Amino acid sequence: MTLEMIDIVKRYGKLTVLNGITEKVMTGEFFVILGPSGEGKSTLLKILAGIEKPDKGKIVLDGQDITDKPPEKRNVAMVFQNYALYPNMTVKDNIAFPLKMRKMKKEEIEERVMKVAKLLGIESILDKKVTQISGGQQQRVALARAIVREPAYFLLDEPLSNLDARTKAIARGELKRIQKELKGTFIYVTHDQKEALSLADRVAVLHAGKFEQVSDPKTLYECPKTKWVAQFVGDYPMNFIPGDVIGESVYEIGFRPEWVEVGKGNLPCVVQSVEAVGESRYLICDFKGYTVVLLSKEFHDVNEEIRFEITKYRKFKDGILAEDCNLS
Amino acid sequence: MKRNFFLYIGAIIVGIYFLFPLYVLVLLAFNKPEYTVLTLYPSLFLQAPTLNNLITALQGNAFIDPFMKSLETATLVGLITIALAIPAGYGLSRISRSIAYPILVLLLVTNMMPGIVIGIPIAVDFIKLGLFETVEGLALAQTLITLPLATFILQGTFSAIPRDIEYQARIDGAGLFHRLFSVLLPLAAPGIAAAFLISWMFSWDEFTYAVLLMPYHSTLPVTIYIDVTRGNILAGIAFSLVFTIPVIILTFALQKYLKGEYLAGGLKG
Repeated sequence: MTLEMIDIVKRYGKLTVLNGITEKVMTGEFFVILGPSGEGKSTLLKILAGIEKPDKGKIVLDGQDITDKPPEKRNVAMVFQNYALYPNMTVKDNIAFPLKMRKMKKEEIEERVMKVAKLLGIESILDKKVTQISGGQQQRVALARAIVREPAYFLLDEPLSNLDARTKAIARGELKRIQKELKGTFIYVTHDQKEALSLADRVAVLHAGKFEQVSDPKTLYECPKTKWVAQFVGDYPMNFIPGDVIGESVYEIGFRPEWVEVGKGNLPCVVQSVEAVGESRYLICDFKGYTVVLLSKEFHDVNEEIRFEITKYRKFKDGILAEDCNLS
Repeated sequence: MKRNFFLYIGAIIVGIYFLFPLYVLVLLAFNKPEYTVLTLYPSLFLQAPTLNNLITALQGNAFIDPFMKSLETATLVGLITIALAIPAGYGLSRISRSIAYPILVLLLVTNMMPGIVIGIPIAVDFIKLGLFETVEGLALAQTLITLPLATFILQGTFSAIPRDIEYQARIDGAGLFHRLFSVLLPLAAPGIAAAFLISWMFSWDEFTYAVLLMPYHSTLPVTIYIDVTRGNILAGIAFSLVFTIPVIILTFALQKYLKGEYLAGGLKG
């Protein structure tokens, strides 16, 4: 099964939200659409679900054009950001709802619901109302309802964003495990680059209505195609300085905080603030008028003058990566 | 502590002030007429308890006819109102607020006009249409007032149901029927109940349209008015008492449904 988006355009009035999205998602792939808020990620997902119609372009599933199929006729499951559970029903009824709508036999519904509940570890709350369970449990119920019908593909709209940090970390691992177990095609939308890098087989970065880069997480992190992607992906944006300082006069060079060795080399900089994360420290540093972020194991004082060496960097020209770089 | 004390005293005084007429009504209903309507200085306490007043008044068609008329009219008003207000409220909740709010305000315009101004021309038309002196006609006229209110309530109810739930239902394969009866209406049930009860209660003690459109064999409020003004005071008292009971019951029922949290839980994370 392949899901193709072909030149999808969506406008709201004069505003063009999606401006020609073309991509192919493969069977069993965990495909993450990453982008800042308000860039039309959810719109794209709604188009894939059939809730919204694109102004131009096609959705093709296994060679069949499904652009005009309404959501109830598409074999697709979706998990919304707010879970969209039916508050008037129990957990069990919520999960069984899509099966009931497909007029499945009672015994089969029961069997499937139990199987899914077991997979997600929610057997004990099946008879509770969805209003009586915790946020993490609600998220699982929403996921269970999506999984139970074995759809052609899954759409997930920031399903983890309403969870607290700890629950989120657990849920992330679980989501990945379930996806692998089901061999399901997941299309997952998020604004959280960390989440995208840790979950995805491939990440598509959505910017200005287009996929600015589609690649595996490692390539995305190490070889961002544009300066914008380089600065959007990563806990800290990639540092950019003119190339002359290291003899690459035509280019602008970009390096990540961990691509340096502090204490070596001859590039001077003045520490402006220090942020400790676990064992390492991020030094926010003034380098000849450019603010750069450096990763260091040592402790440094504010206003201390340090030296560093860039061990790895990427060359950019006019905001675009100017070298061959692909890790996959 | 001290503030609370005075607050309670105040609440009790206000409570007595508002409940006193009800007390007098009970007194009149259960005291022998000698101690109430037939004396110049009626007693403030129950002197000689009796059920005779009620039994005499409630026997025969003099009571049953207007009571049934009131019941039929109010129920019909409630049903017509929610049947029309559900689609109207849903529609208004799903379009842009800049369009929906002016429409809601316009709907309330009928409520700004005195009933008597609208009632008389309606009566003329109803005579032509054969709806004069009928339960259906009166119910339609009263719906003029209840429909905007109910639409307003249900617009709020449906606005509180996230659009995503409907989308979810569609994705889950629910057609229009199931989206309506398995998802939307159960979620809107408290609002629908509130709209129905408010419409019912409005019609139950509505007077202006009733007296204009059904002047001869009318509903309870008009009958009570006629009894009291034409000297049949004891009957008026008994009717008033029976008339009050459903209102009290419904007020308590309504309280339960008017809680906003009914909808919010589980929809947000």
